[in-house]
Amino acid sequence: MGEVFVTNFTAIDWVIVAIYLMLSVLVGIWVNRYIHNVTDYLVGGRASRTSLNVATYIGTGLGLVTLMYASIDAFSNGFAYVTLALMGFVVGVILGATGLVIGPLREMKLLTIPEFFERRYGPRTRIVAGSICALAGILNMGLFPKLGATFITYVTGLSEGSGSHELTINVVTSLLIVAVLLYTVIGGMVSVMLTDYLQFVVLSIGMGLGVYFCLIHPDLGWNNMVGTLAEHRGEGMFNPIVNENYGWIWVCFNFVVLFVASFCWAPEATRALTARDVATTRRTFLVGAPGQFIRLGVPALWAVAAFCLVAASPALTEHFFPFGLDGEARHASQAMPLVIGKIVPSGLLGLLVAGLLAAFMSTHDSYLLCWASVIARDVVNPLTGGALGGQAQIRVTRIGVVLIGVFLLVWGVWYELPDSVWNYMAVTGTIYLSGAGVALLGGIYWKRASTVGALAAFTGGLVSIIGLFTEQINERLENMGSGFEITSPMLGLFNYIFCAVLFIAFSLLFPDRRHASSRVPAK
Amino acid sequence: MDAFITFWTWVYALGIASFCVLAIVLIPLGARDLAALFRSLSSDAEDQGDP
Repeated sequence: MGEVFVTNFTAIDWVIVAIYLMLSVLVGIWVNRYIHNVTDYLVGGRASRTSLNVATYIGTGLGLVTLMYASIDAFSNGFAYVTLALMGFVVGVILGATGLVIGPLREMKLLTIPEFFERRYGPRTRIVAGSICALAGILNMGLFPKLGATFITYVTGLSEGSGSHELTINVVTSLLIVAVLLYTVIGGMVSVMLTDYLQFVVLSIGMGLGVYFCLIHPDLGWNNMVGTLAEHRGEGMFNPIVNENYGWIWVCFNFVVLFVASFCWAPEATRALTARDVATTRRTFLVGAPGQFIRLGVPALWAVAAFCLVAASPALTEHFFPFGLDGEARHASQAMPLVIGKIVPSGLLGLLVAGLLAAFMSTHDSYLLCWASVIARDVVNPLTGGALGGQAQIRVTRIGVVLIGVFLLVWGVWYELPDSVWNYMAVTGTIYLSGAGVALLGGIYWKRASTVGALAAFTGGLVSIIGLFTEQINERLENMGSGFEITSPMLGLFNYIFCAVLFIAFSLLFPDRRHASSRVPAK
Repeated sequence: MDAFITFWTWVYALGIASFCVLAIVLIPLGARDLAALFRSLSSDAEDQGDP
């Protein structure tokens, strides 16, 4: 059984990875010379043009974490999961073509999204929004290091080593986090934009190579992959509606998540703020739409390739599908890195892993900077009565980055991965997105939206935390003899509707005394 | 099921092709924008009298 985990990763690949990562850190330190004020630090001086903004927008979304959770779901659900990639593309086109929400946000020259809530609903709402945003965001990225560690373990073949390989990988992941912390703390958004750009370049080439080797491999190829999947797992692998894990509720919930996240979720939405004008913001979303497809579609393809190789090997079949190829998958997180390590030749594998590790760092630096700046500007600064100057805000942001990094090291590395990482991500995101989405949309486009309505919506979003405990709730329901079972998508979709109802009802029942539309540009 | 297989075949062909074109265009133009961003940040600092 042991040798099935051997990959093509050799010493030369480690050298390539080490050189690339060292260069990334040095670049982050070098760009420190361009940071002169808080606007430079947080939104790169709002001077980013279309091509750079699109490249960094895609770079931010193309994290190793994205590739891992997409491949985990696609390994069990095939192309049905790629429906999400198509929805991401459609959302990008809609927002880019219409400028819905993202245009007004850029017009207001904000540094963070919760700033909008202060201008529209007052300082209390900004503090509440900032706190829930940071809570959801930090919980959301809690699994990132574990996913990175799993990838490194199986793509490099370290799983072949002694029993201490897990510890070794946790140490490597910890070192990566320290490196990310270093250049995020020092460089801010300018270093994020530079490294995101470099990572976009390396990843575009690396992912292209991964797809190429899947398509030319003698045991793979498009027709073989599609045929194997259809033969063993049936129509549910291609049609999300008939897939037993998905269905209409899953489709609707995820469309809402992707739609709201694109203008509310700080790491992605920040790209609306870094652009130099509204037209650039809109072009970023429109032109970047194919990137939204690729970031989920390519790892899903790799997962299908992994299934194909597993189906051809009795030893791998026993490991990943102990109940048969049409049964439930086990150890799905190991499949994609393993197949990449097996089909890409040494040397090129080093380049690809460097690109994917860079993506791991890219996601971390964007997320760290976003959540730390939300804590500094939207929670700490308003609580001190706006007493923090520009340099003090940068200091608090840097402290926030380090503290979040410590949380990731302690909690993330040792946390057990759930069966569907995507569901975990969507549920933790919904804690903030379900309230923020309606408060943002209503705040811009509905004159009767009120402060109490916004606060009610944000509070209602906290109900989503229940979604993290569906397994325990379903056990209780079963013990009580109930035939009803709740799922994370069901609860999440309910919560978006619940928050919208709260927002509308409380806005109508408790209108603002002073007409709020005077605080923001009229739409 | 055949209709879905054909659908995903076309989706992947178009998706990967359009991303390839995007990457080929964005890599050089992104480098140009990056240089412009650094120039802009440097000139802002000079205007403010920073060293």
